[in-house]
Order: sequence, then C-alpha cells, then structure tokens
Amino acid sequence: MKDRYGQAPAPHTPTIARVSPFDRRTRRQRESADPVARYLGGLQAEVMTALWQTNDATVRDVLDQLNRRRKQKLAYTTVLTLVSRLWTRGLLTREPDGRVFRYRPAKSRDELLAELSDELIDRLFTDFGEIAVAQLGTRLEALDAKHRQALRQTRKK
Amino acid sequence: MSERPGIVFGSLLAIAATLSTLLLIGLDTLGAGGLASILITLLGAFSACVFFLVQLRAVPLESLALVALTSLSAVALLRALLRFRRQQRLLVGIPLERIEVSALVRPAQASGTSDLYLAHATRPAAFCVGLLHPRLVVTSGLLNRLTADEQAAVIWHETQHARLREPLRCLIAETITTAFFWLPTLRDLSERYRLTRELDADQVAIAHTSRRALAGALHEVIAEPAYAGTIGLADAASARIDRLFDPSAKLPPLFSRLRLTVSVASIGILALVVALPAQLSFGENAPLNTMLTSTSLHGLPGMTLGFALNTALITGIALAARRFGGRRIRMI
Repeated sequence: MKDRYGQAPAPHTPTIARVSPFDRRTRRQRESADPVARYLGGLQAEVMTALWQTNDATVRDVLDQLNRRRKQKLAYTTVLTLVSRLWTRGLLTREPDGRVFRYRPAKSRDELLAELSDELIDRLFTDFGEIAVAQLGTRLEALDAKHRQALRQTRKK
Repeated sequence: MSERPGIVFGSLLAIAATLSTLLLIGLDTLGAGGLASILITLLGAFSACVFFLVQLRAVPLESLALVALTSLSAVALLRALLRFRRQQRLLVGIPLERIEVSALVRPAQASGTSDLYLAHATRPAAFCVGLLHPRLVVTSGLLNRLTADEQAAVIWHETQHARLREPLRCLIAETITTAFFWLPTLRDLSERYRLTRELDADQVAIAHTSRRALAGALHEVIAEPAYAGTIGLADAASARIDRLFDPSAKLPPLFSRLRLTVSVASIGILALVVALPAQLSFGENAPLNTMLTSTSLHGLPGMTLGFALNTALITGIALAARRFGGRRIRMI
C-alpha cells in the first residue's frame, strides 16, 4: 500500500533560493556567513545542520539538539513547523515510525550548496542578462550549428 | 574605427552626455514654474480628470514631449539601477571559495590584481563581477570539463575583462541604453561594444595560450541553443567565432536600419523641441490655478480614484506582458 504520509506534496519545483522581487530578508540574513542560512533562514539552517549530523531523527531529537546550548528554549511546535517546512521544500524525507515521523536529509550539504549555486548562477544570467557581469560565453548561446561544429573540431585536433 | 571597444564606448558616453545636455537645456527654457505646471497637468490628466485633459490641449506639444521624454528617461534610469541592486544581492548569495590563480595558470603574472573565486556549481560558467575591484568567478563544473591549457585560456580572458573594469563599463553602457530607450540605435552601439571587447579578450587569451585552448573553453561554456531565432545576436556570435580562425573576418553591420530610422526621428523631434522653446507663463494661467486651489471643482477623491485606477491598469498590462511575453522583450 502506498504510504499516505511519506511523500512530499506533489510536484513542486524544488527551488531553494526563491526570493520575491521585493526581497524582504534582513540584511543580516542576506549576508549571513552560512550560505544555507541566507536562503532558509537561521533556524531552518540550524535544523538542517542538526539533521546532517545525525542523519536520522525525530522532531523531538532535533528539538533536544537545538536546545542543548540555548538559554531561551524553543518549543516543540516551533521545531515541528520548521521541520515540516523543510519537508515541503523537498529538503527532507520522512517515514512513519510508530506515532511519529523520522526525518532524513534528502541531500547532503555539499549537494544542497551545489544545487543552490546552480540555481543562483542560472538566475544571474536569465534574470539580469549582463547588466554588470562580463561572462565568457556571452551572446554565444545564439551560435549556429556550423560554428559549434568548428569549435568542436578545433578542440579535437 | 568601429572595432575598437574604447572608441565605441567613448561614442556611447558622448552621445549620452549630449542628450542629457539637450534635455536639460530644453527644461531650463521652460523654467521652474512652467515645468511644475506641466508636470501637475500631466499628473492630473493621468487621473483622467476632464478638466486637466482639456487643459492639456493648451500646453504646447513640444514642451509636453520634452517633459514626458525626460520623465520616462528618469524612470528607466531608476529601473536599471534597481535591477543592478537586485543583481548584486543575488551575487552576494552565491557560495564562493577563494582559490589561488597560480593553481590554474602556470606563469603567475596572469593573476594581475584580481581575485579568483570558485563556485561549486555544475553549470559551466566563468564571469567577472564587481565594479571597483573586479573578481573572477569560475564554476567547478567548468573546470572539471577543461584541460589545464583551456583553464588558463579562461583565466586570461576574464583577467583582461577585470583589468579594464568591464563590469563597471557594462553597467554604464546598460544604464545609458535603458535610460535613452527612445534612441534605440544606442542598443546597437552597446552590442558592438560587447562584441569588440570580447574579441579583444579573446586575442589576449590566444596570445598567452593557444587558439585551440580558447576554442575548447568556449565550446564547453556555450549553453544549449535556447533562444534560436534571435538573428542579430546569432550574427554577432558567428563573427566572434570567425575571428578566432581568421583575424580579418568581417563583423556584422553596426546599425540596424529600423533602429536607425527610429533614432533619427527621435533626434529630429528633440531638436525641434529644443530649437523652438515654448514661451509659457503658467503663473498667469487662470484655469490651472482655479483647478489647483479649489479641488472641490472636480473632487479630490475622484481624482485619487482615477489615478489609482490608471496605475492599476498600467501595472496590470506591464505584469501581463512580462508573464506572457517572456523575458526577452526589449523595446524595438
């Protein structure tokens, strides 16, 4: 039988760096030292870090880990919300275990960063053209087949 | 002449300076009072208030054109700068790792002054960003696909851009073409500038490595032909590759006929506007004064509503054009 809860809600584009044209993130978040926190926010990034360390945890485990060095303790429901948002974004997978879910990171930190970089670089060129960027292959995407062939042959020589 | 990026860029700057001066002279002849009245009348007419629309007929056409043109240019300029700010924010978000140029290029003098950063992305890309202190960014996806020689070619090419502060020049060129969008021939000049500066950087890369290395690097960096059918761009792209093999290959024609025609018409209108300055004395303009002092005549709420409606309408059309027209829409 197909697991009713185990799959992230149906096909969404797994974008990590979606930011609306009116960027409402604070400067602190935008320029945060941790690149993951720049797009997920500090708390969600902390949850991801905790899960990358343990690789398999319930919400209660994540809560304990986050609260270990916190004076102001987080509530269970807060972490539950963070975790389920990450799951909706496709960054976590989950499977039922008794009455709770066990969560695993869907991709490693390096994979996530690579995906993030890909998305940002794509957007850099599709959204902004080349307003203040000098790119190596500028305007070459319009190149015809004959010239592409010429390039390929020169390389093989 | 038209093959030296410096000259092309210089003429772009000169034209922009001339146009700004012309506009300012034109506005100066109107005087502060006249300018304010025209602006208020335009704004009122935009709210679809009948009184202002009637008043609009009394304003000389040339001064109306002048004020409208200047306002549109100012808005376009602002938009270009906003776009630049958003782009900078996006750039700050890309996770980068600093690497040593000497790791990629054997003779270390290639480093020059610019810093080299590695982005852990699979997309093959190499670019140069930063206005005052340009940085080079290459993706690991690109480096993995290239031989050592080809990597050096990429670095030499981009270093040449960084040395000339191309991102800054690029921003200036883009701002000028956007602001003076009613002179579309500037777009031709800016495209020519892009092409020639790439040709120059290509030559530098070939001189320090080899034609074969650069050809390999270019081949890997080219995206799939996603925008087939953009004829002008395809010509420029072919010219760049032709130059790789034959240094005397011909470049595509500098100006497109349509853009040139539109530009000549715009210049003609602007010259007329400046040559025949409107002699206005809005201080004694009785109807306008009445309208402004007694808003009860047509009702401030009504005007506000009209203004909001028009703004919503224009915004809606702009959003729809962006949504359904694709991103590649450019004026002319």
